[in-house]
Amino acid sequence: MLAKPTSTDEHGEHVVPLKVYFGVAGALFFLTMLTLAMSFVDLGSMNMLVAMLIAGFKASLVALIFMHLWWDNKFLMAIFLTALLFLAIFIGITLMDTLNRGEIYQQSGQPINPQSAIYTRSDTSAPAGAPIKASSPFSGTSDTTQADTTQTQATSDSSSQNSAKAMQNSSKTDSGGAH
Amino acid sequence: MSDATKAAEHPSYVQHHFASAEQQRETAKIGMWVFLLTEILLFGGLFGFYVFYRAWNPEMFYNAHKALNVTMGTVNTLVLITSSLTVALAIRSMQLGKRNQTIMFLSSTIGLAITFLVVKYFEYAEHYHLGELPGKFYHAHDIAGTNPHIFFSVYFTMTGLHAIHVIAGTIVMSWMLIRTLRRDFSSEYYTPLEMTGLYWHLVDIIWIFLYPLLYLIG
Repeated sequence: MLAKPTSTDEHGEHVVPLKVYFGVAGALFFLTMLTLAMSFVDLGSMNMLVAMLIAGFKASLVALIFMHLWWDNKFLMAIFLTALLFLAIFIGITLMDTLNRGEIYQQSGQPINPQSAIYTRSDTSAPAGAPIKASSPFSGTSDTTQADTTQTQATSDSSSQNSAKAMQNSSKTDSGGAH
Repeated sequence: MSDATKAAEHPSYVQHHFASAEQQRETAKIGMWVFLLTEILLFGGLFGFYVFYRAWNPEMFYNAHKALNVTMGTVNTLVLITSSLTVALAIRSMQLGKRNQTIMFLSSTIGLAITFLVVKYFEYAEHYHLGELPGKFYHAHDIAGTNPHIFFSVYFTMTGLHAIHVIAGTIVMSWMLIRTLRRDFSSEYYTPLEMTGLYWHLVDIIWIFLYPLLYLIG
């Protein structure tokens, strides 16, 4: 693909031929206009993939030729690739969370064990069987779950049993849409 | 060992704790690349910001990106690529001992960096005028979809941090120009120029990704 340059300076640093530099700059110009042109072609979800492949190729040209990674000690290339690897780990693992939050918030609306103390309601003024909604920026609704858990200590035995039943009922009614 | 051979092995630009000029240059390069690694991870946080919020709001991102000026974005991409070429040529000229060419290419690089910032200023001024601002400062009404202020938070933090890097690069390159004029560099010693070039190319690489991600959401 690329001919290794023949000339070096007195310390063995490579002097890259002018035509290589101008060739790379020309390629970068061409690829920029190609990305721009591709953005007007509707490929659906492939548009982003094509744009990122072109950008990745452009970045590789800059890193390999302009930044001399092609000729330098491969340890420097390893440092560069390590940065990209950890960037991929960071974004990839966080996406596992952010892409699946909706499902988690749905689960919080259906207690696994409605009898456990954390789900008991002290708010006896609430109508029996009032639906318990998930607190989530994606469901777009507020709820009283948090207030309930903080006041659990104050609940009497009878009211907690009643509300536990209310929870059970409401969780049954809610579960219709979940599965 | 005579003084003459000592001087030959240890010229004035080699600091006393390095065994040779080559060791000094290799050390500087490794240090610079580790710094660039931290820069990639610094911008990585913002690329994450972009990816997570775009995954949550795909349609809003598509609608809001139309408010960006593609012509200005494309011009700035070409300006930065050209400046990357000129800084590479500036270093190459110094490798060959052509000091006047280095001065010319460094000056063009600084000029292109300032051009980039001027274009960016006009873009920012337009968004400011229309109220297309990040977070709570957003008060435009012309963009469909919920929470378009998120797109402008992403846009301003990413391009803003990038612009800060361009400003820093311009200052460092001006310093390199002064040092070249002072005859600090020669074909034997130009490591600071080379490190400045590496930094400038990384700023270019980051823009290469920002351009399609922000301006060309298809």
